[in-house]
Amino acid sequence: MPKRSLNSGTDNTKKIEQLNKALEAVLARTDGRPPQVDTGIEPLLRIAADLRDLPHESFKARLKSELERKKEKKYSHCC
Amino acid sequence: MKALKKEADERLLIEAAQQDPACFAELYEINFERVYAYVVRRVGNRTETEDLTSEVFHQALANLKRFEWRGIPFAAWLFRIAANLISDRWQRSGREVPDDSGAIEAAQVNPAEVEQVERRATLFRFVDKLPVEQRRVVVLRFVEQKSIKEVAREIRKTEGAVKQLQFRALSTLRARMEGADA
Repeated sequence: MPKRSLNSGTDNTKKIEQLNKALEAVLARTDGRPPQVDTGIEPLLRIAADLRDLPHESFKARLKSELERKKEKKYSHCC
Repeated sequence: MKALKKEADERLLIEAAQQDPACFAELYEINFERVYAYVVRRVGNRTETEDLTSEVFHQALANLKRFEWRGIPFAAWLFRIAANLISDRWQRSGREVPDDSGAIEAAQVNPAEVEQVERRATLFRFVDKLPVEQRRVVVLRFVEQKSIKEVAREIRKTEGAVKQLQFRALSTLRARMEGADA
């Protein structure tokens, strides 16, 4: 069985805290650009920066129903 | 081979939707994230992005019968509609066009831009597949821009647990994006 480093838990906690601190900076910036950080968490920050533009779930569902209503209206007076 | 199959499937879907608009729902599901990612990249603002994305799909549905299959992806047609709508809006509002948007010719859609849009759309779709708690944290934190404290209160977890879920969600998304790129 491979031995786990005694420090792995602490390292992880450190990384989680480090990431959160950097995320606060990403969320506070108007341009959403990731700040200069440790290379280990840099790819996660790039993902986070893109997630600022994630569409709202409710918007996708609302637009879908709007389009469905429009289709029904358009074809309800054809027959 | 896979690309050809995809192209053939898309063509069938478009033809089906031209005959029966009920089939438009599938085209919407496939292309929603792409259109949204394209528009948000150009306009940046959430309210305006929602407004324009909505207009793109309404216009696409209204003009679907006019779409002619010429081997160009359906998404490219949607991007063109979006680019024209953005351009019209900018002209109407007299807004200055940002240099890096390629919007001097706003109705042009360049391949590098499409690649970036496709990447973001893939990321947005992956969020939907995250485990429920991770997805919730992502939405509250990045869409609703809530603090760790507020998220913790809302999902009834400790702040430490929220940070951990946030870390796991981003790590999962990163791994999936790397898999998608490979």
